[in-house]
Amino acid sequence: MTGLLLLGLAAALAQDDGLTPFLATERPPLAHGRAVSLDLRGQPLSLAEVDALLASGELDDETLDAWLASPEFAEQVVRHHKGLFLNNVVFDLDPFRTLRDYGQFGFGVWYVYYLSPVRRGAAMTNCTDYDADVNELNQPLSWRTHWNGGRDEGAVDVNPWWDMDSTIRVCAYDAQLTEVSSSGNDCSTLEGQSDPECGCGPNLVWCSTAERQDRVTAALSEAISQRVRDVVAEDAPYTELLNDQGVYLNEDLVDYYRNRVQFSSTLSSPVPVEVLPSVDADTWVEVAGGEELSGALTEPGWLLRFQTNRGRANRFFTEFLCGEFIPPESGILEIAEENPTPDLSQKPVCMDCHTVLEPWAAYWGRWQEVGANHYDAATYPAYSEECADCAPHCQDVYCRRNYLTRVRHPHEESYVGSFLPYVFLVGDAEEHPDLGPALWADEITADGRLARCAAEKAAVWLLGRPEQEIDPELIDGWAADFTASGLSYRALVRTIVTSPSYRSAK
Amino acid sequence: MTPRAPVLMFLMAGCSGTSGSDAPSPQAGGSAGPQGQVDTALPPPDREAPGVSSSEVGAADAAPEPEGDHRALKRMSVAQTRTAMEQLSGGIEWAEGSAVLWESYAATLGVADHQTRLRDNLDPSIMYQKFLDDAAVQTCTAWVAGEADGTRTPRGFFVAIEPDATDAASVRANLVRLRQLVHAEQSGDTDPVVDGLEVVFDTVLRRTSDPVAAWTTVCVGLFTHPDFFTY
Repeated sequence: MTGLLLLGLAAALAQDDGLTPFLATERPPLAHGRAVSLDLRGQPLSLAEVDALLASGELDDETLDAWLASPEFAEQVVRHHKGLFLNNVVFDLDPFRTLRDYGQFGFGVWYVYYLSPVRRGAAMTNCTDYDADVNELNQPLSWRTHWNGGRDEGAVDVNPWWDMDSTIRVCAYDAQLTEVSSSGNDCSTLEGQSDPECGCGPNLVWCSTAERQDRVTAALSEAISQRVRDVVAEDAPYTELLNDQGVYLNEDLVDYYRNRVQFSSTLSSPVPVEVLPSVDADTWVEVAGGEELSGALTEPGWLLRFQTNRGRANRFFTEFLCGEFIPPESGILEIAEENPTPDLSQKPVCMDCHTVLEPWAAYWGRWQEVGANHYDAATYPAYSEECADCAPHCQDVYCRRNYLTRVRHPHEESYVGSFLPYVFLVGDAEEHPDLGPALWADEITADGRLARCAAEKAAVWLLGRPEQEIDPELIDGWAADFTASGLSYRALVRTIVTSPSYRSAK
Repeated sequence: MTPRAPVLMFLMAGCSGTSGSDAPSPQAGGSAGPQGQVDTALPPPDREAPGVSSSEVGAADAAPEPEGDHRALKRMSVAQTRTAMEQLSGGIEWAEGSAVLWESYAATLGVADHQTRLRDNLDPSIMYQKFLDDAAVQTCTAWVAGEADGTRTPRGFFVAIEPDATDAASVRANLVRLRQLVHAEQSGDTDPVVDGLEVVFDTVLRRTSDPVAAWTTVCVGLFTHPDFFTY
């Protein structure tokens, strides 16, 4: 059978059909319809659609509009935008709240690996599977001693929050139900994390599993895609991707924000916990967020994917302004000084790009790096008298971590007491941290650069050619139409796939 | 001179056999270049350029006309390929047990994960074509056999023929319909690819006397043809 298949294939493929276009030619209606269908819906024409196209001789407006309004089109736009946002977060949200099952050794008992030193008195030490002697709070009353000196308290049965109908075995220390420890620590907060009397709480609600954490990080990534999906589905202005103040939530995110985000140093609930909605599985809801939010640009899925402000600005510049940083033809300057300035916009080697980049990075100045928390102006003023006064030898962790207190170069002298993201900012850029990336998005929307870049990216996607090979005037025209449509992404794609350029192919 | 240069020059010599008025004139008195190099791209003046058969090559302009902006023919993404095969075959998945193989081989096929691979690899690579062939064999075997024995309805493959019919007119009519459906090719009865598929069908049928085997081979040929995976 295989031989016959190969024989047949060889015959088919060796066929010189004489139809391979040498020059770009206008595609017949059926081929054009198939191309549009694959680009807009990710699927070929159905038999009925083939027959309809053969009968009508062209892809009619009604069909095209139906395709543009379909969920399949939204998915194709989501795919395209994944290439822009790169929204795939790989981030260990909270290893100190992750239960591991050491069942691979045949025990099937869960414990928090990283808290073994706190709870069991020895690193990497778990209990063995015998019924623990515990009180009503699952606090062990007796234990055995491991060879390494660690306590082996045994295990208890628990119905975990992620599957309340099942029972799993959990090491008793990790299954403790204590709400406030005898030393006064609230076990539902970070202050209880180092308290041996604090465990994972009722139904382990203060802990989760690696699989559940992966679902949360996947949801952080997917929230951006959901935003794209909604903009396309609602035919909303494209700018909403970048300056909307809504927050996208699903079941995994709501559960995380309600029960475990308080243990995180990198995330916080984007809305007060009491207004978190109830969300059914596999659905997304949008709730109103704070003024500091700026669409996808302040989504945790973006902030954790690009973890520095410079990285965030660079990615935005590349994908939404279609720019790139290229060193000058004359080359970059060498560092001659022994103690070069830490101001990258003045530092040789760095200054050619950073003169531009630093003010842009400042748009994210009030967003945590290697995290996604917002630094509000009340808690983190641009200038702190208190931190300036304690410089240069502040004992205060808040000042040392967040404010310039130690001067290492003369260029830093005038910034003592400044919140770190403000250091070296001059002129209008001093406003950037407070205004946030929404300001940048608004600026490039107003001057047409966002429309121009979105049109260019869409042209590259749909024409399948690099931007250098596409007539800039053509893109200018599509960008103008896009702007005139009120930044309707559907309209932009419609313009391109009905253009003579898209119709001819080679 | 690089090792590749003689080959290129040989190929160029083959391309220069044109009598079009725009073709450059051979240099008189031999073909030595300015630095004494022999210009092998031009035939010696005492020998005629080799002729070409118009029946094999056909007529063409000596120089391409300037082109406007156009779309590049693109290879389907893995997602599009999967969706297309599943949609056309009425939902047959390329799978092994519960594992969908398009997903299992996603990394090998160059599907972007937006972490380590930022863009889909859309080259029509040997790897892509190998897996496409595997997928086509599995899909086609189930699709054609299922429609032939009546367990898969409605029919999407035998759209212009009964599964056991082998008369030339019906076979050709079904091939034309399949070309429309799978390749969006509407040349109809004059389509030379249909001629080729007809040969495939006849060859396999002669050897197996089994129309299902013949149609399965045609089906694989359709899915592995560039007209399927490019658009």
